[in-house]
Amino acid sequence: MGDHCEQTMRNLSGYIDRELNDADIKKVKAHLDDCPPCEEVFEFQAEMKRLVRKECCKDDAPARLRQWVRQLATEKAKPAE
Amino acid sequence: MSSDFSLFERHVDALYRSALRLTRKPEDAEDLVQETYLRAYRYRNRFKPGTNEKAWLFTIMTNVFRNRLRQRPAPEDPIDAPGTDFSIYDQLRREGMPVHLMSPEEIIVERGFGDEVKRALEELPVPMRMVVVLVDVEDFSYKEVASILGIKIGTVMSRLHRGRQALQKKLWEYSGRPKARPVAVGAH
Repeated sequence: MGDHCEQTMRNLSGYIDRELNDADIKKVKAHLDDCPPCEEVFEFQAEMKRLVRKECCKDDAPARLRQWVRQLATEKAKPAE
Repeated sequence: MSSDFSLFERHVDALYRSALRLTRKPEDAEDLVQETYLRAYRYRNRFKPGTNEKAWLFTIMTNVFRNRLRQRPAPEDPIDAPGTDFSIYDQLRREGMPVHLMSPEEIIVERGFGDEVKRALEELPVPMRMVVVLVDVEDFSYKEVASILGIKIGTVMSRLHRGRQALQKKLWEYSGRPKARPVAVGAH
């Protein structure tokens, strides 16, 4: 594993989470274009993140709760503390 | 005032799905979300218009949740200690799976990781679980998560890193166990 690979792996989470500055994004991108093994790791970790979001987003609030929040917004007109 | 509050109303699904990961029970999650909204309503004048109302609601909710936990303390792992590195990708390579010839989606479907994500997440220690949910599910920035939870950005990053590894480790362990409903082979 070369220096570029190590540096890319250290920055991978930041890259996937869109937390890097433009200069670092460029470096990671350039390396991933050049290095298939690092690119595979990136694709896999990015897919894991998407998977967590996709699975958790299947749970919507029950209609009863949604209704309760709506009522709170419309019914209570007391002055706030 | 109701027009202001409607800003908050639109986040009910996000709050509920995160509450569900934190509490693990639908009835507790509903209760947590209700208390969050009651507090948001009571202190609505403290919300600065134009700032991130979703982050504000999650700050309230994670605080309510942590206060409830303190009333019923559960043993926790030492969460900020460095852990051993683990990744499913590395394990698959070690197993000799031709990962370079498969898409990540194919690997995930083939090994059935998707079905176990919520369960694995819910088994993570609370501090790691909160960070993974806020970053991966709710799409908050590290800075926003640091502000919501009142922790340093470096702590957000280390909990996220450790949380993701622990999640993959659990998924890996589950996928190695026999499935609940095995497919009958050659039984017809």
